[in-house]
Amino acid sequence: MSSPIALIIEDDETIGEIFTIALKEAQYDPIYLRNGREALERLSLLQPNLVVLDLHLPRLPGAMILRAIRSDTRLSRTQIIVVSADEALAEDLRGDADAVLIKPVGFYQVRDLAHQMKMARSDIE
Amino acid sequence: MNWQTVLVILFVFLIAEAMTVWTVRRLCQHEANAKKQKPEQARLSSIQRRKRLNRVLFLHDTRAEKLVEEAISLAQAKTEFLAKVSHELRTPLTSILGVSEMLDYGVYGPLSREQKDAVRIIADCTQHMARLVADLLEQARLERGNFKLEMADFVLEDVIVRLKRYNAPLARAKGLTLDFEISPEVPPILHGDAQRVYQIMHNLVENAIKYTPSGEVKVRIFVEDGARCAIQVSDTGVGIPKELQSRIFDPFLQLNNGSNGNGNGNGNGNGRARTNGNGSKAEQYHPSNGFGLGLSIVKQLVSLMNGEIRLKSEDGKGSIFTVVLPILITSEQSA
Repeated sequence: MSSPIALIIEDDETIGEIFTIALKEAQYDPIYLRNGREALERLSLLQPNLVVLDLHLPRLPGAMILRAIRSDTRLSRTQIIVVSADEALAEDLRGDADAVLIKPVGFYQVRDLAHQMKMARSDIE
Repeated sequence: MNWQTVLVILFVFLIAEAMTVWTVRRLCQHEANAKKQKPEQARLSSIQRRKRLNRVLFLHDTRAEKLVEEAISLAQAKTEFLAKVSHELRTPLTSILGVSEMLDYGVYGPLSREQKDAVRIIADCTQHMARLVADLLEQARLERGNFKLEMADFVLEDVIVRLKRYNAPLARAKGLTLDFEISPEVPPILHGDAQRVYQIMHNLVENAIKYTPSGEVKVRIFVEDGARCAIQVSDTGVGIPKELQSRIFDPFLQLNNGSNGNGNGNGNGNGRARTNGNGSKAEQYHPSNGFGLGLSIVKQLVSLMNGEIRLKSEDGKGSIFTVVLPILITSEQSA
């Protein structure tokens, strides 16, 4: 059985790498993207199980991607973790996300949360 | 009117006139000095003096208003600056924390015990710095004085889930039990600023975990006096010496020489002494253990919510912080 797909949308490369390894450890198949426009294009082709989304992104803000996912019925089963340094903005978007993490976020935290979300989803299914 | 009354009125009038002359002279002198004029040029007639006084007072009022506006704008700029700095610091802190945890996990190969210890210190200090950044920003918001609570109904269980999500791993890492007990009379939905209620509870729980070397941290939520919600955080930690209890909520509390038991002073961080595993006092606080902003913020938020905070603690035997908040839904709110 193939691993569930996780899309990481984060403009900081080091953080992108940390999340990629954390999600591999949580048994996901991660895809790392650096800008919002590219992420939106990939989302039209993919149906990821999980999206780890930064909010301050080049070319297209994370909040718009969040809204795009939530308004797309094709992506109704996609879980979203918002990860941002902007506490106020992240709190405003809490209602649309499955989880909100405020930076700094550790490797273990992302790995454990992603794993829990995967387990919770498989329990429902 | 007898002659004594007339004398008193005359005396008062003379004193008032003398004070006016003196005030105008001082102000004129001040202005003359500012314009590098000779003081003689500033001598004026009585009517001119009064006109000048009114003009000077008007100018001072305008300046005072301008100063107040400047102060408000500076305070706003400070908060915005701190918000920006906080945002800019959190991104590199994520990299430091993430990479140090990946090292600890062995992503880059196995580490010796000493290397693992060193890496954990980096991760701990990063978490601590992140907390400080958040606390400094919150303190700046509170200092601005226009801090507004966002009142709404909220689900208590949501706050507890968030608390557990962050604090349970911290407690587990120290081998502590983190227990929550919600009394059945507490309604599931409360009314208040949920984010700030969470922050109060989080600061108290995080603090309790930080200063408890072994044992448990317990959170009890119950109704007090039939009208208010009490949040009690107790721990089996190092406790707070009696002489420090009155100052424990001060921001940036520094211990004085000798107050921490080993006579070296220099410690800080809410003034709670650190003990070693067997409960004896072992060392003073290292500055990396905090500036004590967490409890100060708790007290300010509790005060903003018209609540109260109580502390019961014994040195070496743990602490009990009880926060009582008017967040139960009243009959008017439910109507």
